[in-house]
Amino acid sequence: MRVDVVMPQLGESVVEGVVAKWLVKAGDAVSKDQSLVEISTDKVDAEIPSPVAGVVVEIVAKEGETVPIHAVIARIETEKEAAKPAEAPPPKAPWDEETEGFPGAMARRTEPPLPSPPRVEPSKAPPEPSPAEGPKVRISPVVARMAAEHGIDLSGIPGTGIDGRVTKKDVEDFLARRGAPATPSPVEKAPPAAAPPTPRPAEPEEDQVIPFTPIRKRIAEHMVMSKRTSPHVHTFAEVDLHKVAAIRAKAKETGVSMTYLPFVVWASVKALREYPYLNASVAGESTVLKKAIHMGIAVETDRGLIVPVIRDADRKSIGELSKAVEDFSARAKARRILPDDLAGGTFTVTNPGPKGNLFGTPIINQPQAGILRMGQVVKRAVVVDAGGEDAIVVRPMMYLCLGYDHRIVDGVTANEFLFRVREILEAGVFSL
Amino acid sequence: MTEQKERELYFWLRLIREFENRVSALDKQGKIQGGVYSGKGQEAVVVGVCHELKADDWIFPLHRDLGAFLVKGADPKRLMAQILGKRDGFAKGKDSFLHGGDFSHCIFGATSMLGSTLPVAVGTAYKFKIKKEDRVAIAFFGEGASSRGDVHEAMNFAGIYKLPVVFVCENNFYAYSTPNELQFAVEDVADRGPGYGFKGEVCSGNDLHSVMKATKKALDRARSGEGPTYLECKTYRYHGHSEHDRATYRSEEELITWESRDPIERWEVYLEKRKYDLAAVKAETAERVRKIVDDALAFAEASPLPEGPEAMEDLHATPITEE
Amino acid sequence: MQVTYIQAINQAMHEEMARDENVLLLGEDVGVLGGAFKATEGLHAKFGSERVVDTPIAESLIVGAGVGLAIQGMRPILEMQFIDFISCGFDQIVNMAATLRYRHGGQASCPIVVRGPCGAGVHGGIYHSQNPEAWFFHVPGLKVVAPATAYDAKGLLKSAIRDDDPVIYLEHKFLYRRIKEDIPDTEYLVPLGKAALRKEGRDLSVITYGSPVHAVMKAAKDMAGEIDIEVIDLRTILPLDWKTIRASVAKTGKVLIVHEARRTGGIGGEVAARIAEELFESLDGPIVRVASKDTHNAFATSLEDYILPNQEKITEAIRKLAAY
Repeated sequence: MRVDVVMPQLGESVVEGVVAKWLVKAGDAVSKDQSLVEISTDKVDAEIPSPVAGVVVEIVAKEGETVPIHAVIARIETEKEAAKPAEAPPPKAPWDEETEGFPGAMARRTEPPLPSPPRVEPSKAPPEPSPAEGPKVRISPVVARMAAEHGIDLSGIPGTGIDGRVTKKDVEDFLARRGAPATPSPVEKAPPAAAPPTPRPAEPEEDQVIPFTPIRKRIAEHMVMSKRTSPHVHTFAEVDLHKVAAIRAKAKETGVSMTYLPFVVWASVKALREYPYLNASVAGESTVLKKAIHMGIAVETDRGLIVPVIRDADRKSIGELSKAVEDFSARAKARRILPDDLAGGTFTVTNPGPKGNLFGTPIINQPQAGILRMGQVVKRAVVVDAGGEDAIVVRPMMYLCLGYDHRIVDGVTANEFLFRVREILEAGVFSL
Repeated sequence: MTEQKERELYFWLRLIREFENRVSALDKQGKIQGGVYSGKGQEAVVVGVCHELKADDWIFPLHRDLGAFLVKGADPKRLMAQILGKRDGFAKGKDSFLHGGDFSHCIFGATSMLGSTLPVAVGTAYKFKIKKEDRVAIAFFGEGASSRGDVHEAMNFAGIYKLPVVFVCENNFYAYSTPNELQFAVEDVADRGPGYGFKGEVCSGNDLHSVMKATKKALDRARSGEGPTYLECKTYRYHGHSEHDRATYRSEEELITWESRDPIERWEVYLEKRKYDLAAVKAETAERVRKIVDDALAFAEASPLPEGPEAMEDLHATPITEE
Repeated sequence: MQVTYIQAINQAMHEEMARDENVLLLGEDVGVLGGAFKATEGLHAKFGSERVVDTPIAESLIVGAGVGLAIQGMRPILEMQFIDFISCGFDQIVNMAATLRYRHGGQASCPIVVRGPCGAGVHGGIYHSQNPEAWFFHVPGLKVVAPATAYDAKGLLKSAIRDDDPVIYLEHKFLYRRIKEDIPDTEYLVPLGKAALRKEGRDLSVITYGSPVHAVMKAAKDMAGEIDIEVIDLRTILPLDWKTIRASVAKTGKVLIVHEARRTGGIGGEVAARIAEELFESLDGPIVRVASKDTHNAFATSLEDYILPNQEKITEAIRKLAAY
């Protein structure tokens, strides 16, 4: 068996040694503990004894060479077989107080234990509060402070920390995108994010002053910024939804309730694939055509407007879209929309609902390039082609308004896109 | 001995006794906070050891040696202020009783870790030796402190280097309540001196002549480079370990025995036999020392207590402030 | 010039003893032998027996005599052969040296340096591996320093010798011959009380000192693309450089404290508590510590590996905190 001779550590701080002089050469027979070599370190000199009896087969380190500790300096061949690895000792049975009592001699000598004092029953601890429904929302001190100072609604910021936590960096990035300074000027005092004071009961003679809530502040700032950023142009289409209505009615028979919204979303998604400039944003002096289609669905809540996002909406069936929309509505009502839900939208569809009036000119949700607003569905008498002849029929009609950013979307593109959306809706075929 | 010297010695003895009595009275009046350690009865030791010291010799006194402060030249006013914990004390109120020394008179403050000042005294003596200065260090300790490791380590080193230090052991037979026979297995702790390579000597601590004679020999040895001396002075404290100790571990008889060896009375006997008008000497000395102590007390009482934030001062000579 | 960490320490003593005849050295085997680790090599030959004293085995005397020399205007360097033995001189340090100026109302100072090899990782066992800084961190009147580089070892020791207060100087034995650095040929000092910003970063601050500084710097380098780490080498443990710490925490919001001393009662706790108290609104994550396990410095390699902080433990802690 070959045995290595290594440079020993001759002292606690020593990291290397010098081979001063070999006392044997390759081929020499050596006995155990016979001096093999003289080693020198800056603390001490020593002769190294052989670890085994055998024959020196190789001198690895030369005289005068500096070698790090534990490195091999020579090899010796011994006749002995390689030692079997020591058998692991059998694991000791854990000492059992019940059966064995105190270990060893004490076991025989201990008196019976003194009677223990009467147990004091721990008072019934109050039941653990059941964990709150849904994932924990973590807000670190610095994030809380920055949110207060800048009047940010943290639910509007995508979080990159654990469990979707909004981190300091996420807030900084959000502020940078928003255009506000990442760190507030030292002069500014952080306005407390307290509940707004209850407005005094309306007195007809006086004006009523209601301070902005953080969410109102955010909305106000965003609206101004959006209009300032994008030159808004709006174009309108009138859509005949009778085929969609039929599908809805059929679904209702099977107990599935769908609004018109998922159909509009489906059509928009298809059209966006054909007109990518509406699924884009502006970066400096470039247009960024987004690869994915993440559809924002505007939802009104009691605190204001939020826009949760259906990710990869183009890969979802009409049924899936419908479910997603319903889910957002329900969660928005329960205030359980997560920051992740609000992140990354590339286009927005907004449906004001049954009291939405005929049409409107929505403001783009930055940094997107387009937004589609649905109007009320109204039964109208319209003229259709009935076998080559004009006829008047009653159809459910809806105005769609497309708002678009004229920096990167020209009229032709916008109109063709909207035309296409209408086409798809009127065709009435909603399968992937 | 000159008349001046003899009178001076008597003055010191009386001043210390007056000071000690006054401090004890103040304590009973509740005017002193913290521990008060009376050296009453042991005056001859501190007077005998300190009276011939030079201004630049260093002393490392015990908590019980306020007399050493006085003989070494400390201002009685500041000493009283120190004892009352006032800002004009040596410690500026930062530590109690004799724990603040007076560096301007080469007096080191005592500590509660008895014996811990001996290594310090030895370090000081080492400096005197290598700088070839004709100065000595006097390290006081009680016989109880002699049990501590610091005392052994200090003496061992001093013996090796034959340092100019005198180790003065005030053996008053009790370390608090612990009598000698429970403190060590020998009769005279000075017997340990030769164990460290230097002379051990026992003297009668209530006999000023005896103390002076032994001290002179020890100082000569120190100054001549012969090395240290283990000078054990047998004496007795009249009061308990502290003023709050009724010392019931001692017998009335023992106390009376030692009171009959009172160092001041013995010196008065000596003065009388030297044909002084003792009554006159006593009277004028009494008045003199009383005035000194009255003035000291008046000064100390007028001195203010330190203010709270002063607790943060004097921690560093080169403080590093946070910006 | 290229020097090892221990050579830098040796140079500092040579220079200060040559510069000021009142500097002297006391310790066990420091003279003729040149020290158990050769830290004091050459000093006895150059400065003689009076200034380089081979003392008896008596740590309490070594420190106490140091105080006695200091009050007489000398500047003693007091070596503890292994810093573990500082416990034998503990009383003289905390009750004599640290209180000297205070209980004398500022009449004098105590310019001593108590130095010795600290630290683990050399299979030293319980009595040759300790990191005692926490004991002295708690004592007003002292200063405590722990250099991690050869440059700092020299500069800090020179400053400590010139400082008028008692300084506990902890030289890490693992670093003695493992670090070789280029240091200036001309004289320089490193001030007490100032941390070194070893690396700037934005994501996370690592506050550390002593031997782990090197593992932390390696981790910072290895993770450069992944996490932008800021590394503060405290250098002086008492007093702490709060100006540097504050600025870093305000910037990154995340703090990892690494020290080889044990976790419970280690100075990392004080750093963490004060950051939590004063910089709470800057924090973007919990303050985390990597330290030795709360047990004695065991001897067998397998035990040492388990107990001590190492590259892997530090890296993992950084990753986890950065991801929070």
